[in-house]
Amino acid sequence: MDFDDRMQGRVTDMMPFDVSGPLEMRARLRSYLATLSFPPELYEAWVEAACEGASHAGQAFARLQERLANQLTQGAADMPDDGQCGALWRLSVWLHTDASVLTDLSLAPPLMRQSMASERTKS
Amino acid sequence: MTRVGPARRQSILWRGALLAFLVLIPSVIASQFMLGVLPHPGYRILNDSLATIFGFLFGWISIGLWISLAGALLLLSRHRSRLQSSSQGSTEIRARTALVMPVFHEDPVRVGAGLEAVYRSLAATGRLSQFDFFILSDSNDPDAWVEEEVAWAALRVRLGAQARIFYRRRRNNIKRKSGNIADFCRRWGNQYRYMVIFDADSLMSGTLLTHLVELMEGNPAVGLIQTLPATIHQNTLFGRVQQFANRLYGPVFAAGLHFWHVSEGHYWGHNAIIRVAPFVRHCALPRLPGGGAFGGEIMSHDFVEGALLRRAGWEVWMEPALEGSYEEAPPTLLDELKRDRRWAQGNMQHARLVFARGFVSPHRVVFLNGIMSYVSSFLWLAFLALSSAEAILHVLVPPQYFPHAHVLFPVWPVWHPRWALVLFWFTLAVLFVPKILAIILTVVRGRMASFGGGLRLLAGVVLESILSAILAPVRMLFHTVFVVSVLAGRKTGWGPQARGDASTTWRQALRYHATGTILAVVWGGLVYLLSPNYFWWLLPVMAAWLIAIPVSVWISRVQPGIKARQWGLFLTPEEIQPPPLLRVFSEAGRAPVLRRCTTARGFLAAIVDPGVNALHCALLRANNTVSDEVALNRQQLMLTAVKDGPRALSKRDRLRLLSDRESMTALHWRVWALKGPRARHWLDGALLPTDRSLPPPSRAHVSR
Repeated sequence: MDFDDRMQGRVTDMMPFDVSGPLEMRARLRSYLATLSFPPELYEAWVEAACEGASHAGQAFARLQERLANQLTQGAADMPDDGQCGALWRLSVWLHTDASVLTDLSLAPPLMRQSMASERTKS
Repeated sequence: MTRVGPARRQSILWRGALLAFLVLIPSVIASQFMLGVLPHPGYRILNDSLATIFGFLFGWISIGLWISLAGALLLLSRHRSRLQSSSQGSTEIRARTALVMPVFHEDPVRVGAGLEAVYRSLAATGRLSQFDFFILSDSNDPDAWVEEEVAWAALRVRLGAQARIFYRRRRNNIKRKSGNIADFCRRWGNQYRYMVIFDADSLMSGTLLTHLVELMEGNPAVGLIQTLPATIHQNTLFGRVQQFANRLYGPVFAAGLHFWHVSEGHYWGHNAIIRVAPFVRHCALPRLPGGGAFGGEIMSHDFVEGALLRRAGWEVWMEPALEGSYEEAPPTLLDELKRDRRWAQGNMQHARLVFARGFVSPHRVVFLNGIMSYVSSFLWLAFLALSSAEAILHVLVPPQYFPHAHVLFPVWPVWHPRWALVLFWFTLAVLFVPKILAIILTVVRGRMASFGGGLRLLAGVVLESILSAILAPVRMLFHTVFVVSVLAGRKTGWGPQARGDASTTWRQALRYHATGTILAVVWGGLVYLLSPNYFWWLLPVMAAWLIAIPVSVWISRVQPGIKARQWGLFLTPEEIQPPPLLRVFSEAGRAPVLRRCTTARGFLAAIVDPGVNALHCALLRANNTVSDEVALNRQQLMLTAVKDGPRALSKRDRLRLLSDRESMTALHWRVWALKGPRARHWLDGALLPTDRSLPPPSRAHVSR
């Protein structure tokens, strides 16, 4: 068994642990979206779309993630943005869709490496 | 290259020679006097040892006298400092400065509030754009790591997206704090001309920070300026007394250091501005060869870094006249002693550097001074032990009236209790003159009101002196143990600094002070039985050890501290009229913390909470090249996490997961998709409505 097989084996090992019932799946997605401060009237349609035909919650969450990313990309004027949770939510969606977006955030100034010169000499 | 001019060098040399004269000559005289005080004929070895030790101790305390005297004169004079600000207008200065705060398991909310206060204070000066802020974390606890990130994000949210406040965590804490700063220098140092080093409890006003930059700009030969931080925010009785003493006596002492050391001064590791380029070039610390407490990484790095800068020709100044620099202090005696254990090892380690090549004499003295801070306790205890031995021997061994043959007259045992009293009072005077000078200076400069008025100031000094007299023998006993333990090669660990209003429990006090109490009973009892006259000389020390347990507990409490404050005792200028910086700090500390999506905290939040997970992942570097082995191990860890929940993960496992962006992202989605029983390992019951057959969650489930 090569590396890819072993890796795939471990990933698929986790699948049976997922929620699979349609009602439970929907409830879990609603719960997730509620933690992000979305109002139910906004997220019900997203939940339906994500869970439609999904065999387990992992699949539904993947679809939801994609939907959230699209909403963000389109400007998402109707998104709740209270300055705090909203900012974190955006960060969340960016991260889980396209990490390259993070390069726009000033997390630290650019690295300009140098060595502590005296480390190279015997003291 | 030596940047210190010949005139200044000469000035430093004559000051050094003068101080040596002022300390050594009286020490020799005091030592001789002590020989005269001791019983005659006595035991020669004992008498000589006692006189020698007394000479050392007298010299040691007299240094404090001369430093304070010079400091008082300097503060009364018009020329308090030799450093001149830049002739450029403050708006013309474009030098960039990094404010760096190394942290290790600190309260992240406190850290954020401190930085926010400094940030807003700098903004008020209009020079904020020249400063960047760095939180440099060495925390290696998974929960602490995540909470620091959240606090940092909260700070960014409060101050706006444009705030240049950055967070960086090191995976390997090589060389601890000095390594942490060196790591900053390597990564970002060449973008800044200066860096201001903060401790997690440091505060500095914007006015002071900009003034420090102006001083550095105006004095291109200066490599480092150390400010005198005033102790603040103390509520326990112990903390308040220390705060009062620091505020009253500190400026005099610091001015004295400024006078004697001139441009070859102290660096205390924080609340100081450093010129980055020479620091990078000259201040990487070597690892000392050998094992034990004297080898390995240099623990008290600050003195050494200051000495290395000066060795390379850069001036190191202690500037006592600068206002607006603050720090906190250990809240209890035991917390102070825990810190002292680290400092004792660090300072004793400097014994290997005292004679190292190239250091200037004042910095060798700084090393020696640090060593003596702890060794003096050992000498004091030795003095007490030897003098007790002498007293007991004189009781147990009958005197020899005719020690030599063929003499007509007996040699009567003689000792001079009056001389001893004279020496005692003279020694006390040496100890108390610095306090008296500080009071005189406060009166002359019209600052009594800043300490609550003349009567309260005096009462504060008297009570502080009494408490100091009680605590000095307790500290002496601990410091002696530290010295012996370092000499025995026992290393100390690296723990977080205690801050805030911790208090000592009876159990803790019993554990740490019981030995002293037992020693007092046995030693004091023995001397009382055999030599009651000498017992009274020992009484102040024995009594201090005897009452150490209740005293340590009582002074560690906040209630007596608050009472003292209500009575107007131990007040400081910052309490009577809080500067704007401290007011902003208090408000920032009370500001609402970042609203979280779930109630999870720490590691759990980094997995479960969408916002915290995203934030954490955003701060991780993408790692595209991992070995197959590592990738498989991470998958195995994830499988364990999913199957058995967070409790199945060790601290090391959690750190490994937290270090990998892919694992964190994957685990986040995975735990939200888990079936009920396993999901409950991770998600709060309120987030799992299906388990209770409830309708879709309302917004009330969202934790604020």
